[in-house]
Amino acid sequence: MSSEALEAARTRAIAQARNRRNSKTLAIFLTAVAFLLAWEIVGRLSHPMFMAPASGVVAEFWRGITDPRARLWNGFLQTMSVLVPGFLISCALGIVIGVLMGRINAVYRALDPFVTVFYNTPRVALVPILMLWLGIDNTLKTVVVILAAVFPIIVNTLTGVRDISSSLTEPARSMGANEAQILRLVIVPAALPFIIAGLKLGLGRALTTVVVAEYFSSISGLGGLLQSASTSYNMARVFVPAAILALMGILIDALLGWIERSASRRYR
Amino acid sequence: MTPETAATTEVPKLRVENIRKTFFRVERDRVTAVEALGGVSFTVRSGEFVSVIGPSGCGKSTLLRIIDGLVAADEGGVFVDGKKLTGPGHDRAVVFQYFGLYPWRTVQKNVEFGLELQGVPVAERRERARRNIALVGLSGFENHYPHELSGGMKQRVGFARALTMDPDIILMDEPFSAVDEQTRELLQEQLLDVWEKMGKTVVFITHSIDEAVFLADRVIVMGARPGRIVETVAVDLPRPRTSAHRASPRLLEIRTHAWETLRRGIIEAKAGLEGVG
Ligand SMILES: Nc1ncnc2c1ncn2[C@@H]1O[C@H](COP(=O)(O)OP(=O)(O)O)[C@@H](O)[C@H]1O
Ligand SMILES: [Mg+2]
Repeated sequence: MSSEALEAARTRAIAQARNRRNSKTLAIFLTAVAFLLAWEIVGRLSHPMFMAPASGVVAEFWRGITDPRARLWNGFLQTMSVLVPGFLISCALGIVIGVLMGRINAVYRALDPFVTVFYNTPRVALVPILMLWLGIDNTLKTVVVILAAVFPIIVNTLTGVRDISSSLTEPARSMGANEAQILRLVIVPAALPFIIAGLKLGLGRALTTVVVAEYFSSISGLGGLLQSASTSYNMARVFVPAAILALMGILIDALLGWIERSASRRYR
Repeated sequence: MTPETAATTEVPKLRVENIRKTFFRVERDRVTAVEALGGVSFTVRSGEFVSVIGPSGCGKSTLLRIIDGLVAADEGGVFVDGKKLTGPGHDRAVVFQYFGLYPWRTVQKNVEFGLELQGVPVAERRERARRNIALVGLSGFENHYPHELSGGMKQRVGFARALTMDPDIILMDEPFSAVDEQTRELLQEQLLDVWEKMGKTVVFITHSIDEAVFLADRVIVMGARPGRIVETVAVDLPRPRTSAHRASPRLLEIRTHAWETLRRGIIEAKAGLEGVG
C-alpha cells in the first residue's frame, strides 16, 4: 500500500471511531431531553399530589439546598455517615473473608453455611427486626448495612479466588513466593474482576438498606426525608431525595466501573 | 588417587534418584491409582543440555515438578551439587508449557517478578530484567501486556524470566509446543545460542523427537505405565549447532534410533497393560 493510501485509511478509521462516539453521546442527550420533556408535560397535567413536573423538582431541590429548614444537606450527610463506613467495612471484611474462604478449606467449611443462609435471605424479611433496632443509633444502622452488603462481596470474592487455576499460582511458587506473597501478588489481582462485581452488588444492597432503615425509623437521612415528604402529599419534595439517591448510586457505580475497566484491560 | 575418589570428586549438577510418584483419584468409594513415575534415576552434568521425551501421560511434567520442588515425590530424592532438595529454590527455574505469565503485569514486570519476590531493590531488578529481555530479543516490548504478544513472544518472556532468576538449572516443559513450526525452529536456535553463551544446565521436556535430538547432548527416552526411563541416547553432534545440522545424516541416524526406542517403550507399556488387565 502506498503511504498516501495508508494515511487515508488511518484518517478514515479515526473518523469512524469519532463518529461512533459522537452518535452515542447524541443518542444519550436526545433520550435525556425527551425524558425530561415527557416528565414536565405529565407533571403539569397531573394533580400535584400524584406527580410533580421536572421544573418543580428542580425548584424544590434548589429550595432544599438554600433553605436550612429543608434539612436536605443534613439528611444527605446523615445518610452518608452510615453508608460510607458501612460500605467500606463491608469491602474490607468481604474481601478478607472471601479470600480466606477461597484459599483455606477449613475456613470455607466453617463459614459456608452462614454465608449461604445470609446471602439468600430476602432482606424484606429483616424489616421487622430493622424497625425494632433502627430507630436507635447510627452504629446499629451501620451494622445492618454491613449485614446487607458483606455477603455478595464474600460470595463473589470466593468465587473469583476458587476460579484461579494452578497455572497462576504455580509459577509464583516455583519462584519462591510465600503464601502471603501469593495472596497479594497473584490471588487478589487475579480475582479482581470478580471482587469488583461483588462490590457493585454490595453497594446496591447497602444503599437500599440505609434508605429502608431510615424510612422506617423516619427521623434521619434521605430515607427519613422521603418518608416525611410522602406524608405531606408534596410530590416534588418526594422526588428530591429519591433523585439524590439515584445520582449517588450512579456515581459510585460509575467509579467502580471505571476501576473495573482499567483493571480488566489487562486481563484479556 | 584411586578411580573411586576421582569419581566422587565430580559431583553431578543434578542427580535424580529413584523417584516414585503415584496419584490417587478418589470417586465416592472407588479409588484408582495412577503410577506416574515408577523409579526414575539419572544425572546431569554441569552445563549439559538434556532432553526428555516420552509419550504423553508418561510423567514428564510430574518429573519436572518434582525436580523443581513443586510436587513431593513418594520415594527417592533430587540432589543439586550433591545436596538433597526440599522445595523450590533459586538454583532452579522453570519455563512452563502454558507460559505462566501474569496477564495484569507488563513484560518488564513479569520478568522482574522473581526478583520482586526476593526483595531485590527496584533499580537492580529493573536493570537485570531489561538485560534479559534484550537477550531474548524483546527490547521495545517492555511495556506490553502478555495478551498483546504472540505465543512465541510469550515463551521468550517466560525464558527471560527464568534467566533473570540466574539459576544454575533451567527446567523447560514442552516450551515450544504451542507455537507454529517456523517460530519453533527459530526459538530452538535462539535457545541454543543463549545456552552456549551462559553455560546453564538445561533439562528440556518435549514430545518432539526432532527437537530433542537437535537440542541436546543426551536424550532420555521415557516409557509409560509406570513412567520410567527406557534408554538414554547420546547425541554426538558437534557444537555450536545451526539449522544446517537439522538435515545431517548423523542426526537422522540418532533420530531413527531414538524413535525405535520410544516405540519399544510404548509397545512394552501396552503389553504390560494387557498382561495386568
Ligand atoms: N495432580 C495430579 N493428580 C492426579 N493425577 C495426576 C496429577 N498430575 C498428573 N497426573 C497423572 O499422572 C500421569 C502423568 O502426567 P504428566 O506428568 O502430566 O505426564 P506428561 O507430562 O508426560 O504428559 C497422567 O496419567 C496424569 O493424569
Ligand atoms: Mg506434560
